[in-house]
Amino acid sequence: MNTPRLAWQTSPAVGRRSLGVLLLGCAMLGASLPRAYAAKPPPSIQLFPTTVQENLKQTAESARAMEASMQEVIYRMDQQRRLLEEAKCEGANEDPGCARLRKAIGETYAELLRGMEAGLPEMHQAVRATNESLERRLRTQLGRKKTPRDLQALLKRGGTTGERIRRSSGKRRIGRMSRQFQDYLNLVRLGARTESQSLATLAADIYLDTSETLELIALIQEEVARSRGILEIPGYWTTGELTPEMMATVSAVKGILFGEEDDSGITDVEVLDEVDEGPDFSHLILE
Amino acid sequence: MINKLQNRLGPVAVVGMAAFVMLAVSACGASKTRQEYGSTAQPGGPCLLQASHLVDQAFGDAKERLQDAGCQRYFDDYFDTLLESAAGDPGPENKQRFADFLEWSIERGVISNTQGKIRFTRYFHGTYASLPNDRSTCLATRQKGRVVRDLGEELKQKQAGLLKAVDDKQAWQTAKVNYNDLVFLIEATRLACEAES
Repeated sequence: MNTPRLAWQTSPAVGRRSLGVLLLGCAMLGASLPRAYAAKPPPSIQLFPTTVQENLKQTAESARAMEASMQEVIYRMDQQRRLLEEAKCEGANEDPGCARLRKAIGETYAELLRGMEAGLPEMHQAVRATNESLERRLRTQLGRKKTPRDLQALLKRGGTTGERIRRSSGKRRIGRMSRQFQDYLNLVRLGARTESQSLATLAADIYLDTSETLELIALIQEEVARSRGILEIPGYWTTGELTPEMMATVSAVKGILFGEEDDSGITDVEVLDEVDEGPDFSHLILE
Repeated sequence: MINKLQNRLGPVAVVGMAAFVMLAVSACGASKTRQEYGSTAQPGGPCLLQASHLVDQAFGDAKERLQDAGCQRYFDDYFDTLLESAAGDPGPENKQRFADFLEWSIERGVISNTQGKIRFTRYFHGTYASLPNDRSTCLATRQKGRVVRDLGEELKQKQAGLLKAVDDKQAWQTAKVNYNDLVFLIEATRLACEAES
């Protein structure tokens, strides 16, 4: 039985015409390829790859662990200091009750120092990893790949319609550190899903926040080492009275782990209404 | 955010943010330097243009002067004078007046299309034309705070245009927010760039 032949095999004229159509199609396809490539949108910036998100998660977890270990100790110290104040022990060095209270505060403080000494290095490492990875991403993705005007274009695309959530200027962290970093992580994941370009501002925010936190942790570690030295000198610290430096350390730890309570009633959300552009001046706007 | 910037970014960010304070006490918008014509002499004689309380008349007079090629070098001065006139009778119609004036100037070759766009954007839009687009942010921010300073200068121009001439408080607010965001992002990126060196 003869094998069925294709049209171009049976008739040379048909074959030439078909080949011509095929070649023309290839030429058209080839001509359209550069346009198709040029029309492809520029790659989005990668500020929060998986590694950075992991770093954020680790920071939140290490902060949570630190908060858990310190919370009870700090609470106990606050209670003891309140009792000391209520007992009006200032100047009453001979009073045995006041002496016991001061000794208890001193022991609690020593416990706090041990906890910080144990937990701070891990927290420092986690925060530093987040800081350094974001620093690299900011440098490569924004610093080297983008012009300052590109950054403006990124900001223009960011946020929901006319609304931006920003941190109030001059305010310290409100709420727990673990919560803050968990919020950061949630914002990153939300931004990744919606491809919001406000990720650039978020990256900058986290970078500066972690830079500040690292400096604070370093200062606290310095004070912890100094205080431990004092406690280890036999007979040097007998009164159990916390010095201003010691109290500053306790405040710093509380600030870094638990932030401040927001009782202002003011939200951080700054809502910018949609601007009524009126007549169209787009032909006079520099892109 | 400002506290964070002040703690982390040093004097440059403070200078940038201080532009806000300067704006609050500044009497009027700053004159742009005469980059187009390089002239520092004040217009005199037939080129002289006085500020007028009648805004339409002021624009008409400016166009009349500019029809003389010898007076076109004073375009910057005329623009400043028009801003002064418009500030005496602020309102949204002034934006259209300036747009018409710039289009007229472009059509007659007094300024180029790009110069017209830059001018309009600097004074009457919330985005910033002074941002460099010819080099990376790391390179651009090596010039000792130049980018932030230029942003501050442009912020003053937007005050003169959006707020004083057009009385568009919402647009002015947007311009300020954009300024804040830009300084924040640019300075954070600058720190990241410098950390490597």
